[in-house]
Amino acid sequence: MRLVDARALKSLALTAAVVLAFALSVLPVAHLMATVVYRGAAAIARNFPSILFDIPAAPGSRELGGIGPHILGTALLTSIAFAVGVPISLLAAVFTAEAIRSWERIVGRWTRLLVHMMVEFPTIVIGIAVYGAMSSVAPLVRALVPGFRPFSLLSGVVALVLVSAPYMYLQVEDGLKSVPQHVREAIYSLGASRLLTSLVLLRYLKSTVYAALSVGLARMVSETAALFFTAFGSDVYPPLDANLLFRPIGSLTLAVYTLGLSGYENWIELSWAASLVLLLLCLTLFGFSRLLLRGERLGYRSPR
Amino acid sequence: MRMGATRVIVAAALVAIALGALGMLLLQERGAVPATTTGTPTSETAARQVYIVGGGATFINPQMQKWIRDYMEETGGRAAVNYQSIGSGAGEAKWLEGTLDFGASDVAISRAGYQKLLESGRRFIQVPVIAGSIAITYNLPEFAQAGCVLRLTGGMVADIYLGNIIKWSDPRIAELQEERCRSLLPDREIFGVHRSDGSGTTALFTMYLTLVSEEWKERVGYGYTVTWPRDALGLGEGGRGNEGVSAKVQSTPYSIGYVETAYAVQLKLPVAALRNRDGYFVFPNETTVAEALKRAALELPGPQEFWGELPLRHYLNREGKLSYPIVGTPVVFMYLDVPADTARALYDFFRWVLTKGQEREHIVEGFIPLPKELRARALQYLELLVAPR
Repeated sequence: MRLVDARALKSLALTAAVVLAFALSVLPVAHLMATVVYRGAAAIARNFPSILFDIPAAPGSRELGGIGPHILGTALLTSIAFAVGVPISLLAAVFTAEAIRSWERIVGRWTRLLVHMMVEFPTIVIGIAVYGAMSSVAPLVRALVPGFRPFSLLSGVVALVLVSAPYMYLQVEDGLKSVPQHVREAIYSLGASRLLTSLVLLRYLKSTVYAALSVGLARMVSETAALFFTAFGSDVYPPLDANLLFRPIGSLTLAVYTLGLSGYENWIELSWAASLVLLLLCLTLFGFSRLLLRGERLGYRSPR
Repeated sequence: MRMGATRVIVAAALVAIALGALGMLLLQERGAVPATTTGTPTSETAARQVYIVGGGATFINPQMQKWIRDYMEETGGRAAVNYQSIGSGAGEAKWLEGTLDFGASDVAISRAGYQKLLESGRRFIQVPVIAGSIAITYNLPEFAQAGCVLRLTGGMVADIYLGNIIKWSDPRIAELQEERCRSLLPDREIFGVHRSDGSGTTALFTMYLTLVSEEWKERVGYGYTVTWPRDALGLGEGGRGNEGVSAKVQSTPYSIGYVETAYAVQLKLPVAALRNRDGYFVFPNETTVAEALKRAALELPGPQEFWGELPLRHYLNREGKLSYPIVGTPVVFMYLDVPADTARALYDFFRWVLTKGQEREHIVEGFIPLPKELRARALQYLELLVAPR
């Protein structure tokens, strides 16, 4: 009898410990999200909907202004970088995963190795490297585009692609490799070309691919360090003309950083608003990817 | 779910695009985004929007942003100026690399940067845009309660940071104070707070200390960062940025620190009265800062000379009953050999900054406009941008 009591007590104690550990690990995230939602929502409610379009008001003024240029910048940066990064990472993944000839395998191995290295790079290093590369080609580019600067939307896009494409590549490649060999053989046995086979495989892995892409997109949206010396930031709207690609642009993440560190109340409020917008964007993408992955698991269990 | 995935994504993309388009429309309507290509292609100056990019000193960022907003408003959005606070050092470096139209620094172009400029053979100008000063702030609960204000001399500040003066009750400090406050000085060790990051504020502050203390000049010197002798005694510590120093002084009783006056004003920190060269105790404010700076106007070096020691030679510890001793001017630098439209845009913006921009309504609280003597000199230099070449 006494033994049972001791066991029950032990079990209870351990359960309690696990629950406590869980609560402790969730608490910071929950607190963080709650604070961002609370303070961000308050800021956005104060100046809705102008806060989504205006430029920040002067520091210390009673007005709030908005984070329009930063939202525009994040939208432009991520959409262009996404459009560029997705084909690159998909093509590379297919190439390395479906390599057959020996030279393809060798190139594929090196690609994989380099990508694994690139994923580990601190993003600030990527940003500085892109800045360096852009400055060295700037005199040449200026011959074509007089207004070109290393601080530009273009540099930002290059940096974001370098930060995010490796992630997307690795996930898609893993997915492709996990496809059982007999599936591949089945497709080939129907007389499909390599191109067609790759397309069928990507379709087969549709959910994995979509999930990889939404995680990649979330990384682009939330990237800060790589943008410091590339996109540079902008608190005003750049002229929306043909040279837009060659001028600096703002981003939500940069806004959170610079406005938040300023010490002026209205700017700090804007920083919270920018945080909330970022949080919502990332949560949406995250939720999206979970949803798609769940779809995949179901799909595997009941083919057709 | 699996069937719907593609459709969901396409729908999301469409919604995003529609939202973006709606936003842009709304913006055009509100005039926040200037329509760049004005619909009517009449022969009159196609109102192309001018755009300039600058970066540098963190300290002037709030004031810069205020100017930019007011200027853009006044020009009806025809001009856009993008200034990012990347720090004085980065501002100088990126400007030298030709990435920025203008750079800004708390002090001036460094010796190394100036060498590079000379080697490149490019023509440039340096222009002061606003006045700044450094306040000595402190945390003495006894003084705060009694409504006393701390008085200090520059030499004493140097002695505190050197570790020669250990306690608040030191007779050298006591004899400066008002009689009723003298006995309130606590028998406590002074905790000396300073900037841990490289900063123009530290450069200016330490330059001042080299002027008022021989020992400081020999043992420590000046720079964006220096080795603080008081730290070695365990009686000092660094804080990151003006905000870090302010926070540390506020939370540490019996401490002393130095911050940009704008911060001290904004955070309502107690500010010490400093004895100037003529022996008067003065606070940093618009009058005392202008008084010190106006004397430097006539001695301002040429626009292309080395300005690195400008504060040391011309700004700090000036004579005059009302002169505050630790003053400086953030400096903006730009190249002269740039395309004519860029030069014009820079000229228009900084001309506005140095004239209308110095009026009270365009100045952020805590910042101090340039005295008119210095403004006149700065405007002369600015004219070089639009001089016939």
